[in-house]
Amino acid sequence: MTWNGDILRMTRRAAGKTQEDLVEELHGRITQAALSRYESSLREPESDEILDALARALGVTARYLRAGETTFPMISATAHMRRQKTVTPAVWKDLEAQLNVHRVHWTLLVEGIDIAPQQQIPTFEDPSDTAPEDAAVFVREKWRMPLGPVENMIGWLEAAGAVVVVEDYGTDRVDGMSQWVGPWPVISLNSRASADRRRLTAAHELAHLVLHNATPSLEAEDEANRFAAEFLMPTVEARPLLKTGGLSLGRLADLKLHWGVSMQAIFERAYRLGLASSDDRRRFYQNLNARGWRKVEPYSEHVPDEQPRFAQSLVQALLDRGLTQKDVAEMAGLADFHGSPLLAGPEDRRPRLSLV
Amino acid sequence: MTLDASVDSISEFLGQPVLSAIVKARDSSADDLARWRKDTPTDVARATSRGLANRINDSFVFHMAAALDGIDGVVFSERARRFVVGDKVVLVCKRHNMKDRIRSYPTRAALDFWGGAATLDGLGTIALAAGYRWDGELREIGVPVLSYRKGLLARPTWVVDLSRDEGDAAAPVRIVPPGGPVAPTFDLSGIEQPERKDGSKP
Repeated sequence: MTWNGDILRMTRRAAGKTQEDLVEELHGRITQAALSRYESSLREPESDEILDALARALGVTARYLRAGETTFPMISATAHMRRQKTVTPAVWKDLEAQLNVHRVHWTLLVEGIDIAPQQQIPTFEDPSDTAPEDAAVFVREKWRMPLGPVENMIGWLEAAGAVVVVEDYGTDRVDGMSQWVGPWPVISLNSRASADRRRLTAAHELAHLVLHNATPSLEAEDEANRFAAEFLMPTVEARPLLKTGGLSLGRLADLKLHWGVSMQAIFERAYRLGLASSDDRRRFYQNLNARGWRKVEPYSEHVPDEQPRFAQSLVQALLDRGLTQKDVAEMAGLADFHGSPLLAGPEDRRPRLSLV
Repeated sequence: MTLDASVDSISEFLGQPVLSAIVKARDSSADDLARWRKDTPTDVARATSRGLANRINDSFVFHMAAALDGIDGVVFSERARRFVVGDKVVLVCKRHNMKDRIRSYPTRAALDFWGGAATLDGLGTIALAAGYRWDGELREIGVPVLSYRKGLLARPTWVVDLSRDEGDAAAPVRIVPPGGPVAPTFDLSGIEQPERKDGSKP
């Protein structure tokens, strides 16, 4: 088997370490030039001791670092990311690396476990043939979702086999990301975002998996927004509600609690359905800004805080079977059970990335 | 009341008499099928799937018509075999397969009807399939169901089971709402259980 250094570079990035940091932690056992060659797959770590030391420093196991030899592609730069334009490439690349790390840990954890999702995430070979709104209706029908607000957005994603992680990105400029390489789609959501924003992001990432996994699109972000709006607020129900009763801030707040999405998303829905004019829209945002609600909307605390459950239920079943936390961590290629939100849950995770 | 195509709105609009008629028609049809099997087992055994389905559907429509006879606002169109409720909702008696799909000859009229085309002098109606779930493998009638779809061949937008306490024909019919997401199942039999020090397994 051939050493694949992608996984080493990716895991280092995800851990927020520079090459210098890692070399220093190995107390001079390797040089930065050697590490650079390992990461470029130009050279394999010379001994198991060095591999173990690298793994320890990164909070993973040697088996994990060798996963690149059998798992292809080890690192994928095909992640979709819902982010602000001001995010620097360094930040989103670190986050993308983290998403890849989750995927590898999950792949290792479930080796030998037969998992049968109750639904599938449908995909469209050529999204230009299908309007995003139609795709959203199709997914709701395929999953036999009841009309009305989506009560458990993350639960539906998990039911369809997606691995969902909620974690602190260390910045609020990125809302979430997704990737579908191999059998497991992975969606990561920023815990810093409000519950309503996370729900919209989850639907937005689902759109990317449905529409853009096979074929990229220049309009991907706009298409994902349209899909998410239809998925969370189907036209057949949203239109009658938005047509009557007005779009005052108080009404939008009431609708926010009903749909579980932000007032801004609801207003945009009304605007796109032709139920609000450009002037209405301008006044709405002026009104929000005047109250300081553009960035932090009120009433988000009343929207249920959804958390992924499936990975934890699988882990619990393994523990119930008599495995220890150490055994489970080992299965996932982690040095420490508490080293990943996948195993230990969102409140208990590895040191987070920080913006520098 | 304002009617929309949601479960809550529809069930409130239809009311207990109509929901109860669906449950009653399903129960009576199941009784009929049991009686046919007992009295004329050869006929049932010889019947093709389609033949048996048609016979059960006839029975279901008959019992629906009987149960809704005299109920205000419900009109039975014998030719189309449809029940129009309050001029706004049209119920068609339909067998649902285990995936809650229905079948019909895809004529233009049928496609338009299930696609939500305007009818009744331009007034839009909401088309619902009222019937029962049919287990084709076991040739058994399942629970009574009510479903809404946009298009004959489309998956239902929603489907609800109708339920009533067993043995109490007068009890109100409950809507069993569509379920939420169901987590994937997993099989851990391939994961070796660790041995304890005494050699036993947990």
